[in-house]
Amino acid sequence: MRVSTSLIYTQSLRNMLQQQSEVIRTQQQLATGKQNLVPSDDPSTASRILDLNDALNKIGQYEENANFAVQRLGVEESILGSVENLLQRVRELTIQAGNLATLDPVSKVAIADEIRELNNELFNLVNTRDVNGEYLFSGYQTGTQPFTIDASGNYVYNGDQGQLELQIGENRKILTNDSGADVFQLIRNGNGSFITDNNIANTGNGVISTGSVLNPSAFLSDDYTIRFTSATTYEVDNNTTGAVNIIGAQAYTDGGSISFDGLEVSISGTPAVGDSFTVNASRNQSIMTTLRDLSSAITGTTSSPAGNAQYIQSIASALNNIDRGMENIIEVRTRVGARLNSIDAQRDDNDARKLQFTSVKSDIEDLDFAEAISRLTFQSTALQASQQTFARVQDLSLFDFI
Amino acid sequence: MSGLKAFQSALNTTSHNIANVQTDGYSRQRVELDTRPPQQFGNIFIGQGVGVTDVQRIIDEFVTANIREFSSSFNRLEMMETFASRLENLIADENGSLLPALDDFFNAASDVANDPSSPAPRVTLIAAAENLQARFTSLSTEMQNLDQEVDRRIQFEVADINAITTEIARINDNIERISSTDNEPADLLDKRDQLLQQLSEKVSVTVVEQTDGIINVLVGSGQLLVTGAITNQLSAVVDPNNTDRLGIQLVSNSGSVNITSSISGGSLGGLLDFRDNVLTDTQNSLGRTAIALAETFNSQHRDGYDLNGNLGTDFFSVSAPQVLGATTNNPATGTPTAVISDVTALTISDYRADFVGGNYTITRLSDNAVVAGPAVGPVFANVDGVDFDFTGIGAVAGDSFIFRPTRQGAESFRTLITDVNDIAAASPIRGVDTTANIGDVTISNETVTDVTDANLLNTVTVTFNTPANTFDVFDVTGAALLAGGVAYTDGMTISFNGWSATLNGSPQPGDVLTIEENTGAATDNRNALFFADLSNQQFIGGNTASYEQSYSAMTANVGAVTQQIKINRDVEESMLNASVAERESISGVNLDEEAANLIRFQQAYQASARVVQTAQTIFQTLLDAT
Repeated sequence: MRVSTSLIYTQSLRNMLQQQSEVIRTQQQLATGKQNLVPSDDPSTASRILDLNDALNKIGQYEENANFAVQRLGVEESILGSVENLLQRVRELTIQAGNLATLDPVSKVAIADEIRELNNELFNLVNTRDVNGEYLFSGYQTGTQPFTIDASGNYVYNGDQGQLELQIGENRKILTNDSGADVFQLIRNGNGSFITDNNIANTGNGVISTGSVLNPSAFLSDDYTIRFTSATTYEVDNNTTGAVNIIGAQAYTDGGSISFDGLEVSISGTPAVGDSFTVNASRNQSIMTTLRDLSSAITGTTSSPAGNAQYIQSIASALNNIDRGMENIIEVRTRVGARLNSIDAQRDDNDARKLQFTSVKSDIEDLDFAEAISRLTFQSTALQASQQTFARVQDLSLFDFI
Repeated sequence: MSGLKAFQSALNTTSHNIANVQTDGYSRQRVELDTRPPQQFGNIFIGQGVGVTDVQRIIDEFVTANIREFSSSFNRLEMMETFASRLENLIADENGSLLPALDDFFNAASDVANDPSSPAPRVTLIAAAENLQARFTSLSTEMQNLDQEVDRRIQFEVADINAITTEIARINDNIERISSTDNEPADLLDKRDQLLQQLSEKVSVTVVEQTDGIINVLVGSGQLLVTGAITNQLSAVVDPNNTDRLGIQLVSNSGSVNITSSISGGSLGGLLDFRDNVLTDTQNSLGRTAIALAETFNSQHRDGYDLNGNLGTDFFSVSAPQVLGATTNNPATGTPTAVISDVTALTISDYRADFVGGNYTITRLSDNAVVAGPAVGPVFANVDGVDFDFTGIGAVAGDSFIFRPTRQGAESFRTLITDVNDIAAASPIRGVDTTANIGDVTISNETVTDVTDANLLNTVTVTFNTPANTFDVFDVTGAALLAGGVAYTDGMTISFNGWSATLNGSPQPGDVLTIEENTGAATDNRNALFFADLSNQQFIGGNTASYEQSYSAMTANVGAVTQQIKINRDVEESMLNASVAERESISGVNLDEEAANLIRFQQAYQASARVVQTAQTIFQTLLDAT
């Protein structure tokens, strides 16, 4: 083919420029460590990298959220631990207090004092604040002290039942607190279904047992009175419905079981005529109220057969309520532990996904250095060859010979 | 003697070729020699030497035409590539891209959910929202700058085209005056071919040659740009339909014609292609992301309750769709309006409404599909998520309007919330289980279903009757019985006053549950949790893409378009180079060849000179002999 002189120049020059731009591109790849420099190098990979970045960013945020959750739950867990220990101690003291035979009045006062002190400590624990000065147990109302004592000495809950939920995984949320109401206040007293007590005006020394629900489907959650019409006969009224004598004139045996409406209790000792016992549906009672009632019961009763019966009844009732309280605390603690476990599991999951995404991203984004360096060497050599050829070809001219 | 003259011409032409070895567009020339007609002496013919018949330029018209065609294609793609690469770098830049700002914003929303009562994460959220606004603003500003630069370049290109066509017309005139049928002025033809090639680099043209050597140049769909010595000028003026952009008009004696849509090829065609397709789509896509983000976030924020005890207000604002009336519309015709009714259905297309024969027709410009009408307005509701409203604008036949639902989304994106207390992280209502309840019954999952309900924040009690298998719902604030004797089932959902809630457990007569305004709930994050979750939801493009995916898809689109442009440009470039090489092979000057010719003609010249010398010697001998 016929070649024009200017074509020799322009074509060699174009080749050199082309090779130079390839060398520069490889250099840029090496400098950034990336296979693709702009999206148009590989548009689908570019958008996958952006999506992976987004997924990684979200996982990072989930990790941060999980840290928050662990921190909050950790604080709650340690407070609940203290409360559990405290209640354990109260339980021991209550059992001591129940042992009337070996108890002298001084010890009774000491036990009551200690329980009162423990109740104060409990009051402080339920009103714990976190590092930001916010109350742990007032639900969403973290600026409000959850428990206060009103003018008549009752414990009042001022918070709400809000639970702060945090997103710790794409489809995983975790509760990070429990409200004071749910932990300390909404506790069914008695055996959880009903609570028994003797009338304060009783003159006999009859004591009513805690009892239990025998037939849940027949159980009504109503309030009843067991009245002794003589020392050996009793009748039962339903106070909720107002029905009298739902059981009429039964013979009393010491320790014998009394059952009606699906529940069973027993009365032991010697009740007197006119004595009565109550079987009420369980109410919510805060642990602080239980402890307050207990300490006043220990020192408040007189030493007489009826007074002793009162005392034993109060201690038994308090023990029941403490057990209900501990059950609830343990249940909440278990839930907190379960949540912490879920967070750990979710963190492992997040870590695994993070690792997977990072490695996929690295696969499609990162430069193969060995390949790039050998390519650079090759391209430099090719460029050099073009330059040398150019110089050589330009030397050739017929004019040099004429 | 004829040899001397002939070879002198040949030597001159060789030297002309050598002198123009580096001249663009120059075609090598060759002297055409021909034996002169012999002279008859009796029975014999005696040769009369050689004559120069023509100085011919060596060209191939087909190759020249190919070069023009490939120049147009290549320059179009080259111009598009220049701008598309800039757009690509703009939106893919790791720091300038929207994605880090989006990530920061939703991370900040997540941090508010982590610690709703603390001011620090709220301050961060507002700062992140302002940063998001800044990012939208700067991206849209940069795109507008590209738009304006395209318009400026269009003006330059049009000026260049006019200068070139004027020059072509002038040369046409010269050629007409000096050329004859046999002899053409080679250098002038080269010059004109060169100008035609320069013109085709600017815009794709058709060249029609007349028999007298004059050419006509046509542009677009056959509009005359040059005819003989007359030029019709192009002019870059406001496009009558898209009144914020430049269009191209052809100005001739018979008036002006808008030929914007028929311009193709060359750098001018590339500029228009880039602007009307790549840039517009990208601006609309970014705008759609901004609008979807603003509307969906606002909707969630309005469902919330802030630290001041108020329902949430709009967090962001974006402007309503842009509507442009054509400059050719009847002056009395008003401007219609449009509102976005469903962000999930929005496309990135613009729309045109034409009023013909008393009916409106709405055309989606991306695929030229008629999406509504022809029908009588006044309102076309929910066409691709947009309500078009022509109420009372008094259009007459021929009026048309361009609707751009998403174009200004990014530039108009503003953060409205400035006070940390105005962030509505909480839910407006809460359920309360009364401590004194005997039964074990709870209310939960309090959810706002209609935040516009005027009674939403009223205190409402659920009180169980005797027996407890029914309950009454009483609005305490409004002192109204909402429902009486509702049958109770465990796990049932109740809905009143714009909220719904779930009831669980076994109630006893007289048990009370309460729904009330959520005052003082500083640590409630129920609404903030939804904020962070919005970034996982796919709202955009018919519920197929999240905010992030919408942006990364836009990046990938621009990348793919740029990649396609680059590939095609490289193809066209190699075709162009091949054609140029072919032209050079035919018409280019080779110095070695010219050196050889120089020697050849020099020898012939010397030989001819020697003949003269010999003749002189013979003549002298004759003289001496006498």
